[in-house]
Amino acid sequence: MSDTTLPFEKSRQTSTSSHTRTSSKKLTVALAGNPNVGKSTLFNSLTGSNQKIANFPGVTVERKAGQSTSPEGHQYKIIDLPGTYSLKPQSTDEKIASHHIIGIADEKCDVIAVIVEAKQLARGLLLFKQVQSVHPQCFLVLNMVDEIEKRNLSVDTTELSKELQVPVVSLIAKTEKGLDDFYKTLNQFESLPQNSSKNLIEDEVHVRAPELIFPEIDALTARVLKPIPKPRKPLPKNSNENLDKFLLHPVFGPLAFILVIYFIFTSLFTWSGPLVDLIDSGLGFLSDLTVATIPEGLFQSLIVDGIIGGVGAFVVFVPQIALTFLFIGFLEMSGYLARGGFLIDRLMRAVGLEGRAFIPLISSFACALPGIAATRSLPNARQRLITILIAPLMTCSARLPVYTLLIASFIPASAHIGPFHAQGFTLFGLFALGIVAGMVVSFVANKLLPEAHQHQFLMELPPYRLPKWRTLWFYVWFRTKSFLITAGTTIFFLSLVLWAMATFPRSTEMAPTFENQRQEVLLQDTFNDDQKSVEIEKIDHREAGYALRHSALGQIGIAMEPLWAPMGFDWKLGIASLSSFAAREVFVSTLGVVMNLGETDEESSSLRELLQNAKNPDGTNTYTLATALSLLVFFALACQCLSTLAVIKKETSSNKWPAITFIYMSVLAYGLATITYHVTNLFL
Amino acid sequence: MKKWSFLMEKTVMAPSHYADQNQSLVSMKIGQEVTIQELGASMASRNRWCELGFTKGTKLAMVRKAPFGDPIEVRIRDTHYAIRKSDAAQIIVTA
Repeated sequence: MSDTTLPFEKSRQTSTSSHTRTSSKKLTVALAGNPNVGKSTLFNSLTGSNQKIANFPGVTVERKAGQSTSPEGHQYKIIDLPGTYSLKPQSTDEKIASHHIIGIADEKCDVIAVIVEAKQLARGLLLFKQVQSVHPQCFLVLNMVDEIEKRNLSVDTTELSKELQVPVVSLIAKTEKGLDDFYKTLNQFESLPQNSSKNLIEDEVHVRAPELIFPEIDALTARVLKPIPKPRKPLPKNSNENLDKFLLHPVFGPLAFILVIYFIFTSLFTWSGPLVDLIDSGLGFLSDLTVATIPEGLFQSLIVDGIIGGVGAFVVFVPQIALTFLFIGFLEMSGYLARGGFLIDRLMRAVGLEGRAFIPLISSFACALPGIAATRSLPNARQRLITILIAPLMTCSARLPVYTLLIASFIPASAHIGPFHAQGFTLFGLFALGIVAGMVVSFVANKLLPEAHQHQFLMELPPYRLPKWRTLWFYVWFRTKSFLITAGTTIFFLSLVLWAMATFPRSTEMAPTFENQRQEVLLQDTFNDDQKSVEIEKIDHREAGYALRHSALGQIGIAMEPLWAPMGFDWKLGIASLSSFAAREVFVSTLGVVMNLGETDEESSSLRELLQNAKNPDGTNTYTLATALSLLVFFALACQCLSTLAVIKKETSSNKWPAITFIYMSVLAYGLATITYHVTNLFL
Repeated sequence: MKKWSFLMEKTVMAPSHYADQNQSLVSMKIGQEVTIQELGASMASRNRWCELGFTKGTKLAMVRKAPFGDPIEVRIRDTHYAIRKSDAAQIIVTA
């Protein structure tokens, strides 16, 4: 047995001879393996920062590819395939992986490296045997051999290699130990002429039933797993189990889970705060700079209001998005995400979701954008889609300025509902409304959406591991970057459209009138300089209000008045709501402009007074409690956020789902706001 | 020997006289070690369960239950899985 040359050793000899002829070769190497076996860590070690994250064409599965240069100077294109348990796919992710391995994907993979965690040898070998049966060039990578050595065990790689008839590399991806062997092994392989099974269809691929393979594998593992003859150290305590005794304890487990969620929730606000302020002041500086350097006019407005204003509204969320990726990445890599899913699964199931959907939804309370991006941790496509659909219903931080203004304006501070302050109760009610709406929509979506595969919840609880900081950094960096570029581009163009609608057509016929008014003020002898500038500012605001009313956006808002009427909105609220489809927080400042107040914020007492004191021609109040409640309900449910729609488009790789989200949320908001308006009027 | 024996678990067919002691996994207690006899034919994604090692003759340990008694954490070939009660009801085991 020992002097027979193994097939791969033969190929090694030929490859070294061919190696002398061609100075370097180019191979495409795919990393395959079960989830949580350290594939990404190995991928990062191989490619460094030389990697690109995108989606596989037409699907929402993340495609990570990068260039790697071996010490010998060979170029390898490394593709990190999505984690899979077998070649019989259960999800889109696994389908992508298995198509690449079988060779029916668009991309040709010359070599498949199957990564197996030493501790999970049997399960990994099942995948390996399947890969081996369909791909001519593959080898086995035994990762985390250190973990098995802690148990005074070792894997006889020579024996394993002989049995499997392929090279076996043992390494520790985390410390990059064994990476040289990995490259040396890659060197033995040659480029494949073409996809050998290009014309095959998926169902024709025959893999043996696991029931038949497992007995063989069990026998094999028993032969190659050997106790270390003289254990140096006594066996360590099972720290994993001890940690779980606490973190999955019936009482302490949920408490710890709540603490973790609370920590994430507050950190998303407090940690991102300084960065958001920094970006805000940076944007402010850019605007000021533009105002100072570019003469007043259309071009200045385009830069300041259109580009800086529009893209800026999205950019300020980037710290929160990056932080969310950091938390999700840490939870996922440390193994806690699955535990959280385990604890909360029963509750989430009540609305047709699974435990792991909880974290993206919680993140959505800060901002729906990172929440939607975080749904990537959900393995089931359908569950992921439903989570994406309901994430924008969670009360994000951008709704708070509108809530604060309206609650302060229309709900008396002294009023009580039972033992509760009416103001606080209303705010709580709005949060609850978002959650309940989300539950209902999830429930309905579960009934309506077709189920491709019957969803089974069979979730691995991986051992706790401290993530490697570099892997975590790459996770955050590349995701944030790709997020910013893809969603940012859409937002850039949509912001320009919205700016144009709010600017054109420009009505110039009133400009002389406003200019005359300004001249009059300047000539007033009774005013001192301060009074003059106050008066001129008022005229500027009136002009801005006039311009907005006569713009396309303003005219649409006015023309749509019959549509606003059932909700109790007049055209002013209509225009403000319409403009806030760009971003909710715009509502307050736009309302300020239409009410001729100029730029305002939610604390502005004058806007509050204006809203409270606005009168109809017959002397009654224009805006009543009913209007306010209707407006609040509308804001709680409507999808007034271009960024959210852009991100849904990115994450689902389709125009259909952002459209559906927009339509269902608009209908829901419109319907419930109308009901709120009329019911409140009945009782008042 | 005993400490790492779980890694070397061999497939052992249960003797036929155990047949009348077959029960579903749901009725097992925490801490109990059982042997899988069969997976319900109507079980969703039956093949996937097999691929993850839920095959006939494999030892399975009941580790713990989640706060509402569902899902259940089990250990099989040194891997921990969370499975729902409804699925566990389809797994026939012998104690």
